[in-house]
Amino acid sequence: MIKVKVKTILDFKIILGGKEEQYIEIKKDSTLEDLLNLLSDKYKDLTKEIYTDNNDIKESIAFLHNGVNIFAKEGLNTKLKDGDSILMFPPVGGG
Amino acid sequence: MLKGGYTGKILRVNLTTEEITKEEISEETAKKFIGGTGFGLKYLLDEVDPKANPLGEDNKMYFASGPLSGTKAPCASRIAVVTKSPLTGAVGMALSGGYFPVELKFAGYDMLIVEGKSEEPSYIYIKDDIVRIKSAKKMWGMNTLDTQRYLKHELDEQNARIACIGPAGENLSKMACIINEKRAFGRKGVGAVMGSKNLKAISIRGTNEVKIAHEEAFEKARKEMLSAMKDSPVLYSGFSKLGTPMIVDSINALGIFPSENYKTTGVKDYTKSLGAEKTKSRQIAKEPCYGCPVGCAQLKLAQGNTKYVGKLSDPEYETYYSFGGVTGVENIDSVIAADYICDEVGLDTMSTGVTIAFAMELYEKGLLTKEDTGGRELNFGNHELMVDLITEIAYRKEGLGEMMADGTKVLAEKIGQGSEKFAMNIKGLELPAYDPRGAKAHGLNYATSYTGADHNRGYAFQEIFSIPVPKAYDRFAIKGKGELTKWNQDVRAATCDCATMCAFLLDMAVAGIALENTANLVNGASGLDLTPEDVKKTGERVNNLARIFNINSGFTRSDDTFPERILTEPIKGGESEGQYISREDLNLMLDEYYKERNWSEDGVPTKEKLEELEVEYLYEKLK
Repeated sequence: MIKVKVKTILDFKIILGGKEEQYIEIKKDSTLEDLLNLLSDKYKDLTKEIYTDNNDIKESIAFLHNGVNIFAKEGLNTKLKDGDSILMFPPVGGG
Repeated sequence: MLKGGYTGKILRVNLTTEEITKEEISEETAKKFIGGTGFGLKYLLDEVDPKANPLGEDNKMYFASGPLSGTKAPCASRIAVVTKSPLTGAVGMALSGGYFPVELKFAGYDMLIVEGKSEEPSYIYIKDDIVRIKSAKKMWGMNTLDTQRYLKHELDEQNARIACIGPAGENLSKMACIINEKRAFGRKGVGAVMGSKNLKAISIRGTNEVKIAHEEAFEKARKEMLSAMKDSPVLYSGFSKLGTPMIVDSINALGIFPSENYKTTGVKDYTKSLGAEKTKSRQIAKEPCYGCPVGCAQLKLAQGNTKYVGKLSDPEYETYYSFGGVTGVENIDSVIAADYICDEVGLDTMSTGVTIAFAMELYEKGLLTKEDTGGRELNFGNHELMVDLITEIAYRKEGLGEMMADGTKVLAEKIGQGSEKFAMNIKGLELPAYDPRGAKAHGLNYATSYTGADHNRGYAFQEIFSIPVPKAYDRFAIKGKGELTKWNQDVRAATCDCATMCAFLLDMAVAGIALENTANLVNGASGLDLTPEDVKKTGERVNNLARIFNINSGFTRSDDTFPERILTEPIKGGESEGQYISREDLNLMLDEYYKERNWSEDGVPTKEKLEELEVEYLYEKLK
């Protein structure tokens, strides 16, 4: 097993059990998709918040693996390593 | 012949000769420059010597609204002021919203040009065709909010829309802004240019309507825009309720909320003290601009400390940074009060806060002593002293006030001893609220923006919000950032700065359709026949024009850079830990950026590029 950090902010905290930051244990060689499946089982509202009707991740959601937008890399196929950091946040704007 | 959108008129006021003239604006100019910033820049290039003293009589100010201002297009009440900046010596361009922008159009003008210098304090009075230069002696010394109140009474014109300067502009602080209502032409010291002309205020009352050339086409485009706004996942659901400070949480989570003059970015987290939850506890009302169904400006009422309690103000995200993170301050009420006082005295909240943060580090390093501070402890986090210093800066109070009044660059020159290495400015303009070490295209825009470190000239929403338009980007990567920065700068210049449109729509609602929608709206309003490609080309033209002015002002490739801290010190914690922009990386990004722009290796626009942009006459200016 490996352990990864899942972090979120704003309204997504409610969806992820009110936790801003949590550590999740998952099988070695798991992908981000595996992690999302695991989280979706644990937190029932997650699926509708982050997936479109076509089962794609909503474009408006920020989804970062070790600080980097996963869609600029290998997307949900990204392999996880022990100590990785996952950051998800709802649509935001301003500045 | 322009059939609508534009009024087709320019108003020129010479404060030296007191001549007031009205000129036509040509269809060719409208086609090539669209309006707003485009108009201002075209005239700046034509009329102002790039070597002119920004605070001298030869500098001019171009106040220009866009063709959509005053129409029913949503969120189009924007106006640019273009001038030569005293803070940077480069093109100074600042935009404001509120109600002032549309009033200029209702009075019958696309642009107001102010030139020369009054002998005595004066203001410009405009009521449709009636234009006068009047004495402002009674208002000299008055703060901006009282100036607006007073002037409405003097004119017996409660519906006048007024832009004015406060004591900071009168005292020629290079960080002075121009305030209209409680909005601001905030940055680059444009308020000092007004002050140098002895111009206290501009009062406008307009009673005309902006005509629409093709009602049906315009309405169709307007509905497209409204529908995109409605479909936005954040514009109404989040942004309209929290305003720009909603991103305090996300920028902290990304580890790029600048802290303590960029020393502790990513190490200190400000979400609890300044984030959305805290903001909600102070919000009591909205303050929308003309024709805006969103209403992002949120009025907040300060509580607690007797110095702050009762102050009602609308600090933006940037101010949460400049009087929050970067100064190490975690007291939201002091941020609200600082915002209010800056508006009153007419100071840019961003440059002012960053300058105070710089002074705090100077103090901690012993480069400023208690002798300089009048016995006061100027440590990071000292919010009471931070708030006190704003007024001292505006009045150039002997000691710290005078030392700090012209921003970080001048303060570093006064202090010396290598302090410029952590004076957080580019070309003299203080850095905005995103540590560029963790967002490289956002940073490259700071380094290359024609106004200095200016997030609004090419905001990389791809890196900051993970919006995949035109595609998804790795914010830490170097490659591809030249291309992206050009795209961001050109699209934003054309659609937001020229047309004009609120920049938040671009980020949150219309990024994918902005060029087409702007073309449709401008064509519908004016009867022009711009293609989306023409619109984008206007953005590129604007960035090339400004570059030429800056080159002739003395800027070179070596000015497209960062403070030493960004180039050598990695971020020490959080989601961007270890990131920085080495000199090698900066050079790689600049090479790519210049190549994308078809500029020389030195960053000079080529003849070929200027021909393509149909401004080949400017090539002569480069020789």
